[in-house]
Amino acid sequence: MLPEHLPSSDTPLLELLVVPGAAVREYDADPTVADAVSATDADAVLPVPPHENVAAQRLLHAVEQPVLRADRGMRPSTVATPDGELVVVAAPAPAPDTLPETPADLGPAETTPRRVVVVSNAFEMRVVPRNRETVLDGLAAYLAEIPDAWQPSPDDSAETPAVVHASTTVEAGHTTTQQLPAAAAGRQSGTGSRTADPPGSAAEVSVDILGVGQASNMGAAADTTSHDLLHTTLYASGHVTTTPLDPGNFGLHAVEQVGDARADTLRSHGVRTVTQLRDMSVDAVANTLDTGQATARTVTTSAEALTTGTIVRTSAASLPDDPVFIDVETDGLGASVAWLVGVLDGGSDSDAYYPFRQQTPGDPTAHLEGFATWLQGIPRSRPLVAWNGYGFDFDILTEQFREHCPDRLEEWESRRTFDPLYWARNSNNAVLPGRSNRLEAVAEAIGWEPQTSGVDGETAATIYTRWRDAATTADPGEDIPEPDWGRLEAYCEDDVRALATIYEAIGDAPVRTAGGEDDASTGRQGSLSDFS
Amino acid sequence: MSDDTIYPTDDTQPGSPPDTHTRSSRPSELLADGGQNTGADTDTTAVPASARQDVLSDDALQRSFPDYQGQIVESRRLPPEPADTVPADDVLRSELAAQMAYDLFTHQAEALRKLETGDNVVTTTSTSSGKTWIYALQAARNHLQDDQATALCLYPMKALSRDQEQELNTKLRDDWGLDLSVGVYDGDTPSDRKRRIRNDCNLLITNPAGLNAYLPRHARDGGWARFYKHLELVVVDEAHEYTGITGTHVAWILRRLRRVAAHYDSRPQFSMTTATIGNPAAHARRLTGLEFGVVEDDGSPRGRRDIVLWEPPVDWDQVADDDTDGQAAPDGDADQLSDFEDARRSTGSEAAKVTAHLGMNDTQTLQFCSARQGTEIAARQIVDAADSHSRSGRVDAEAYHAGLGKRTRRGVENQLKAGQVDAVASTNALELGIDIGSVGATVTSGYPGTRQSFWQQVGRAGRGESDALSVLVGSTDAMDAYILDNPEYLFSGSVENAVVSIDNANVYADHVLAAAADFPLTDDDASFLGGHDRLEGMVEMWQDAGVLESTSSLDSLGGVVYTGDPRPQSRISMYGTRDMEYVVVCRDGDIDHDPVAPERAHRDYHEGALFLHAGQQYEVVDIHRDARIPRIHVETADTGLYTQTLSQKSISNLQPRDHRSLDGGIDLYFGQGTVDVTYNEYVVRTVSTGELVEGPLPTGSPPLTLHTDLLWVSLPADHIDTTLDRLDEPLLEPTDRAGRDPLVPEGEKRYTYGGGIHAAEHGVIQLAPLELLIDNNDIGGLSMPEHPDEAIPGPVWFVHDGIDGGIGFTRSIFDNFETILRRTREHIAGCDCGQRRGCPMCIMSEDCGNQNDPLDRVTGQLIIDDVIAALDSEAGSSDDESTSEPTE
Repeated sequence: MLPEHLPSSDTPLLELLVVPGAAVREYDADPTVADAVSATDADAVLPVPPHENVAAQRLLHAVEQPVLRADRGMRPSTVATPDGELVVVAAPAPAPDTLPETPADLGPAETTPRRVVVVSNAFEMRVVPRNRETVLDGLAAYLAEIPDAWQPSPDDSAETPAVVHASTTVEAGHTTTQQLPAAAAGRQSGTGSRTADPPGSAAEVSVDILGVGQASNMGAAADTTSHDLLHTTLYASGHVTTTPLDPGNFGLHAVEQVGDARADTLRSHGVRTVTQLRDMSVDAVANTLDTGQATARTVTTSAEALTTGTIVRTSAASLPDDPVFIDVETDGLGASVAWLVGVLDGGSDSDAYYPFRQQTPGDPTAHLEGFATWLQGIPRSRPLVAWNGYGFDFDILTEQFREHCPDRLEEWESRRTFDPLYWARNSNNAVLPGRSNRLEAVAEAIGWEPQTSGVDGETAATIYTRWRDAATTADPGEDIPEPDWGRLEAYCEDDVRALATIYEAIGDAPVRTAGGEDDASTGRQGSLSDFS
Repeated sequence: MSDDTIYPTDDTQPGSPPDTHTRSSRPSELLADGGQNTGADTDTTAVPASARQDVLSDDALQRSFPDYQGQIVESRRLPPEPADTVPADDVLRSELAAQMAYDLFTHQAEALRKLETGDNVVTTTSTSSGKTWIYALQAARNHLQDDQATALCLYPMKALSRDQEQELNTKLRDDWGLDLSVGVYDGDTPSDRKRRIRNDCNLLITNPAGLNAYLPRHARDGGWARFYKHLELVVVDEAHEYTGITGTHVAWILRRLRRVAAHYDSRPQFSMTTATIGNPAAHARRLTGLEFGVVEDDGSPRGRRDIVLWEPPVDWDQVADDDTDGQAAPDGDADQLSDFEDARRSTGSEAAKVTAHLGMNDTQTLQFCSARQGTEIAARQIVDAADSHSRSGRVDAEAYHAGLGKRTRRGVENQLKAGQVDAVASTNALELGIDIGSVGATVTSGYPGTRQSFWQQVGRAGRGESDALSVLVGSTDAMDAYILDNPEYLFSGSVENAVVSIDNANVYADHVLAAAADFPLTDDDASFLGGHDRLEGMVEMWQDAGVLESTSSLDSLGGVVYTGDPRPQSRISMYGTRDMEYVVVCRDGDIDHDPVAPERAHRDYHEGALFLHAGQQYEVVDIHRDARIPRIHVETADTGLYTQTLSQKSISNLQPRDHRSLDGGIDLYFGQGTVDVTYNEYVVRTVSTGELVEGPLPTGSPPLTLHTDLLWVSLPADHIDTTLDRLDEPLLEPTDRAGRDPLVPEGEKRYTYGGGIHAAEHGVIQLAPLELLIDNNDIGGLSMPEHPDEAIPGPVWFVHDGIDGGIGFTRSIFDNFETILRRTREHIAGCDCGQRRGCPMCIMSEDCGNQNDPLDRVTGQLIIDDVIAALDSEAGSSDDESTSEPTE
């Protein structure tokens, strides 16, 4: 399931919103989850443990979309793409009496689905540190139980749909292909080929596994206290992306200054949606919440930003002029390399996009030098702007310069940097409409549309790492296929353009300060006092 | 008996110096581990020696101590020791030596010399022997060599960090005139100050849990790179605190620290200090993975010190004893322990009387309370005891514990220093190096569990060459009883070994993940992270789990990158081995309670459980197991009741790692296995009589499975018969309760033998802490006449770590089994109780899941005798397969 190469750039086939039951307990099915369903355009919702059955009951009343149920005692439920190409079936106890005889039978009449995802909670991933292994408990028993035609077989034919086995007790987004002996029933399976027979042996089958929930017993790896909703997108190629969404960004909780207590208060006064809140006067909000005018104004402003997809500035502080936008791609969060530094010189429609990309695996320096040299031509007065730059990009680049180009470090550290996310959220200078702090979420909320699809930071890191490792371990003269760098660079370009779009939108946004007066003046000026 | 003896026995220290002494020209300054240097005599609160020495004389006690019954069972006088010093300029460079108003103690000089040669040093001299000077001077030397040099100081508690910040600032800046900055960096430090400290600070003070969180920020928050690049000294203070599970976490955090430092080309030296422990070099090596030189010859002076052991009277008449054999079945559901609670005068109130008596005699006293006794209650008891003292006058007493606000604590510390309070009742919070000046006496209410801790408490009295007096008031359990019977234990031999293990796989796995988040893992990390094979296996496990980049390997360029949920280190609990722990929340007030691992939560914090914390009783009213952070909701209570949790336990999947085959078909094993335990029921009893009020009630605790370390003693199948044939006493009659409990062996023979093997199991667990720095709350046991495991032919008793994955406790018991077993035998045989079913001072345990039934002291001795005889003629077969620590 891991992409050997970049996923095709076709449009997503199906959007699932995975809902941990605990999120429904802590928040509300309506409007929190309902709001998230509409924000993500989900085709179906899938409640997952813990407390998935209680959550399912509440979701049935809260959303119009199908509620897939993998909890015990339920009949299988399905959701399919309109053309019947992809079918997801939630099968609480996948067995001959609950599943159709063959996966082909799932499709609408006269259509054979190309791809079927069976969701159950029949097997669970956990780590066993004392044996230094990760196991999928119950997988063998599960495979033994499902009808023959659903079993993985050594010779896949194009005639039958490809079946992916998904579990609500495997971490969402995790994909793995298990090599198992054909007669695997009755024994536990280790994950990965390390614990199985050598690949290619006669009696071996491949089982595609997909995580669509939360695993427990994963040590420090998984945040079992997380209540994040998981937006899972299934592509025609079989590729899957999963984006966590904080439920606190939906429903009344999405509004700034509204937490559990204030959401409860508002609900008890009959205010259930952000739109209702937006339409209240500042005085009414202040009275209802028993709070001051300033807080009440932030609440209504935020509600307005959320419902209208606009940015509202809440202070007279201004953005620095003449920005240079940058975005880095790395090999992970605890990065060892910034292999691509994308730069957009000018506005969102500028032609001046420069991808400084590592050309040779093992040389982390040349492209950094290139970037630093290019930077020398940029006046020091121009700020370098990165989304969440103070939390990621600027730090990574500093570390990279320190490690690989120490003679460029001082020059780099003397550059002006600016992080619009920090400026808006941490310094309370603007209210953003996105349902999360992610760049794409904020940009899309104000109407920006990406030019690439199917790639995210994690995918890009995986593709890069795979290439690097293949190239550095290759025999001399061996031909290592290059990834589609053009698409990866285009993905990075998408990000800097999204950033520029947001930046411009902030500049154009109305200022609504504590005085309550709308100020039509735009927010850019020459003062540079607001950033470091 | 001379007039000036403080206790009613002869002065038994032949050749000890005369008890007059000249105050040393040595200032107390060099001793101030936690205090400011005033250069003045710190003995400001002391009273004239003659008055103090009279306080606990027989005459004085008979005359003025209410109802004195000869409670003093032992008293020792430790002679004074003069200071042993070295001129400062023998050791220090001249510009630093010139700042020293006084010579250095020999241990300080020795440590500094070792540090100068590049060695890591662990210093294990007594409390208040001036250990802070060692690392302060080393930091000063480093600074003079390179003004960019940095040092990292780790203290176990935040309160200590603040105290030491002041201390180090005074020394380094004010006294020695050095231009370097000291800063505390922890959860209480505001973020702008944190930024300044990262950017500028030379000496950064934090705690291990904080460091765990800050390590991955090395490349993120500006300033860390500078700090690590110039890191020359790492100080680990009070390292004896890091044992058990916390020790395991600290050991990995320190290895991660070394790895991050190496990333910046730094190889810092370690200067470690600990209270006196038996194995300083091994402990330091286990904690850091480095070799250490040991400094243990204390050059600091000491005044005369008197140690008094005080046994509260037991009224044996009050102990139910239906017949002379004491073997008849006790009544229905009465708690086997309860009679004893009544019969012995409460340790706490007895200690309060002693403290009050000292206070009345103008001796400022620090009373260390046991966990069960609240400091607030103790302070009140002291005041009350003074009111009913035969001399007129009053005593002011204050309470001190970590749960008090910072300002309150500081207030009490200052009152102590200024001599404004007669007595302070404290938890062990004041055991560590917080500066309280010098008190005249300490009273320890209940043996604190370890010699190390006891002497640490004793060391709080008398500073420098002033005299001091310390009293240990015994409580009602096996260890206290042993010590009062065998006082030599306190005074001779080495102190306990600190036990820390890096073998726990769960803890290791989590720190490997955290290390990957610090920066990507490569082969070079094997030396820091457990050796190549162990690291590679764990990396592959996490790759399969999808949280480490799966396409790369340790030898690939860029290494293995962490790809999981952000901040894995934040999900590591210093108190457990699993990712889940409970926080304790009080609904009607504040409670300062450490998070609770599930292993303890299921047993002691089920719904309806009553527990004591810092002297206050609480009831568990609600448990949110599925909350974002699992919570135990409690309310304050004052019920006169207590709860006792009953359990069902089974042990399976035994995998021996180490085996000693002994004579007579007896085998001693160490290994791993699965312990399934359900704390399924609890009963409620009255504190005063032990009478059953309610229950058994369901606890609601889910079953718990531990994969952990065990030792087991396997006996031949015919051992039941051969043992009972030798029994001179009648067989025990099963209790009513036993008849209803399917797990209790049926029939008088098996019941009696079961009581014997159960007694042996209890005895070993209860007395193990006499040898080892271990908390026997984290050890469990099980004994049975037969076991389903095929390799176990007959009766067996198990001892196991109560923490998933093991924490090295059972391993160290296995390694010291013979000593512990002999001690157990001696103690059980010698217990004054004379009860067949034993008493809390020998074989009864308040943690027993079977309500101490059956227990048979006599049969237990026969069983232990056989094992000791077998050990004596050991066949010598040993096949050690235990995990050995990787060499680094």
